[in-house]
Amino acid sequence: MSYTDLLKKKAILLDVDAGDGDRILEVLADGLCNLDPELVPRRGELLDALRERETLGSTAAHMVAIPHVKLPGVKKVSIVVAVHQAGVDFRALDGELVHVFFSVVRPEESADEHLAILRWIADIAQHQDFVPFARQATEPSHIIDLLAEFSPA
Amino acid sequence: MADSVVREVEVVNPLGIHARPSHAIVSTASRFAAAVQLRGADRVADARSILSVMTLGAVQGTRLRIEAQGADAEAAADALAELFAAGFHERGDS
Repeated sequence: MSYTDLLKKKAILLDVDAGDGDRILEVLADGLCNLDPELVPRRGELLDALRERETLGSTAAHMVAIPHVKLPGVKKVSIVVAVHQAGVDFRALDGELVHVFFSVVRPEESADEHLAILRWIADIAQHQDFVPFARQATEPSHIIDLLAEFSPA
Repeated sequence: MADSVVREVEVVNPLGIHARPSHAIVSTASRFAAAVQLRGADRVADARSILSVMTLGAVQGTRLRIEAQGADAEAAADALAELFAAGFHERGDS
């Protein structure tokens, strides 16, 4: 199962240089609003939900983090992928800095699809070549191609 | 002499093993020296790797085998089985 079809070029944020984990969440919230106009008036709510989610336990490991939330009333799943060259301390269980963020916002009634999306991202993130290649990307299309290549058949 | 323990568990919480339960599994497994794997129908996950656990994509009703090896394998398997039985301490949809 692949969700690369969900990814548009404007969903890929390269050269993000936010200074800390909280600033990254703001960048991700902006990216998600850019994908779904319905989120724009709810940016504050989205950002609060992302912050709240991370207080429940870090979503980071293997230099990848998956800050994800559900929002009532949202009609579709949106995914943003952000690449941070220097890496950000995102309280990963393994202590590593995070270089690639997958941020997901989804409708309330989508628990099974949500698990499938997390599984898709986790499968890709476990490839030891994924983060090094993602950091070399110079165009959004490189990331989309990389995700397609690393998606399980 | 290493012990080896196997426990059958079921995912009982409505949302399945999403990120928060994955985190709880890894935190619990990491308290023990034993190596622990979760075996599903089509793959095996290292219980100490959050990404590995999330690749199980285990929805409510999924049956998994906890397989632990090491001196404290029994305690590790018991602690994880308890976590599954408690539905990862989630109430309803969260």
